Amino acid sequence: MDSDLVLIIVVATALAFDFTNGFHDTANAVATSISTRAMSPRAAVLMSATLNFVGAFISLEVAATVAKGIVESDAITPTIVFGGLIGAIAWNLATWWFGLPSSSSHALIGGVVGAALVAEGPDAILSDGLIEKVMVPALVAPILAFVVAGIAILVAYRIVGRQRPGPVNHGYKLGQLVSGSLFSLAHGTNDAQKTMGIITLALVANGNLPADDFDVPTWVVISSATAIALGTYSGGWRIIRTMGSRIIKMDPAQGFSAQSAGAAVVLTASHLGFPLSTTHVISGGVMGAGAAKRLSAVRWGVAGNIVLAWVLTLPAAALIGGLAYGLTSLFGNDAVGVVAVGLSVVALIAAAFGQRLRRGPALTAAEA
Amino acid sequence: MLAAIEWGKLGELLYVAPIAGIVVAVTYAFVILGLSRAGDSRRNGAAAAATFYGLVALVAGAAFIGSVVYAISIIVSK
Repeated sequence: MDSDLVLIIVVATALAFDFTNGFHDTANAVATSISTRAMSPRAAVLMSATLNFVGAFISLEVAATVAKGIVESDAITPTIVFGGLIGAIAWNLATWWFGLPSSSSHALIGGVVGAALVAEGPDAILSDGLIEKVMVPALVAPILAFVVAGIAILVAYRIVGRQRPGPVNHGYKLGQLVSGSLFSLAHGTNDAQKTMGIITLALVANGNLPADDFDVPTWVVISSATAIALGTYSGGWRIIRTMGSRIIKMDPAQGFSAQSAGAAVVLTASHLGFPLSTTHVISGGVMGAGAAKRLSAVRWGVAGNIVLAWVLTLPAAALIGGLAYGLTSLFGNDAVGVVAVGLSVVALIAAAFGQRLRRGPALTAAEA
Repeated sequence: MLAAIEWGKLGELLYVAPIAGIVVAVTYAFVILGLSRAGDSRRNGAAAAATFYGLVALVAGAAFIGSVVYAISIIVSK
C-alpha cells in the first residue's frame, strides 16, 4: 500500500515535471517566430504544443532514460527519482521566474545525481557518464550553434542582401513556420521520453512491470504527451521574451537562421546518437545570428546570465534534489516522507505564485 | 576521463552540422532570391529572366523541401 502511494506521487511529480519542461522550453521553438512576428503568440504556442504532443508518440525509446549511465542503475529507487524530480522542477521554476532559458534534461540529471549522492554516496555516481552526457554536450551545443547560425546569416545576407526588404522578410517569416515546426517536433520526441522513462522506471521498481521485458504502457505515453503539450501551450512567456528580444533584436532572416541552424545541429547530433540540449542550441543560435551581423547587437550581459544559469543548473538541481531526498528520508517511512515533502513543495509553489498574483499580472502574451 | 568522450561522433558532428545548416540557409536564400527577382523581372516585362529566376526558386525550393523531409525522417526513425 505504502509503495503504491509512493508510486502514485512519483507519477504525479513526473507529470508535473513534464509540464514545467513544456512551458520552460516553449521558447526554444517559438520565441524567434513570435519576435519577428512570423506567427502570433497564441498560434505559435498552439502549433508547438500540437507538434510536441505528436512528437511524443513518434519514438518510445525508453533506453534513452535520462539518468542511464550517470547514476548506478541498481541504486535508483522511486524515492531517489522523487527527489530528483523535485530538484528539476524547482530549478525549472527558478530559472523561469528569472526568464532564463536552461536545460530541463540537465536539471533532471542534476536532481537525480543529488538525490542518489545523498542516498548512496559518491560511488553511485558515474563521473564518465556526467562528462559524456552533460559537460561535453553543454560546451559543444551552444558554440556549434553559434558558429553555424553566424555563418548561415552571413550567407543569407550575401545572397538576398540586395533584394527589396518586403518580400525577403515575408519569405523568411514563412520559412520560420517550417523551422519552428521542426524544432517543436524534435523537442516532443526528445523530452516527453524523459518523463515516460522516469514513470516506467518507477513502475519497474515497484514491481508493476517486469524488469527484463516490458512495453511502455499506453497511459504513460498519453499522459506524458498531454502534460508536455499542456505545458507548452501555457507558454513560458518570460523565457520567450528573453530568447526572442532580450538577447538580440532580430529580423526574420536572423530568426530563420537561428532556428534552421539550431535544427540542423540538434538533428545531426540526434542522428549521430549525440543528444544535445535544444535550449543550449537555440540560445547559441540566437547569439550567433546576432553577433555575425554586429557584435554589439548581442546584449552580452543577458547572454552572460544565461550561461551562468547553465553552469549552475547541475549543481543547483543536485543540491535541491539531495535536500528533497534527505528530508523525505528523515521521516523514516518512504510514503510519509514523500507525502510530506510533496505537500510542502506544492504549498511553497502556491505561496510564491499567490504572492506574484497579488503584486499584479505576470508577463502576458502580448508583451512577449 | 577523456576516454568517456566519443571523439569520432563529436568530430563528425563538428563538420556535418555546419554543412547541414549552411545547405538549408543557402537553399532557402535562393528560394527567396529566385521568387523576388522573378517577380521583378515579370513586372519589367523580361520574360526570359523571369523564367530563369523562377527555375532557380523551383530547384532551390525542391532542395529545401528535400532537406526538411530528410530532417523529419531523422526525427521519425529515432
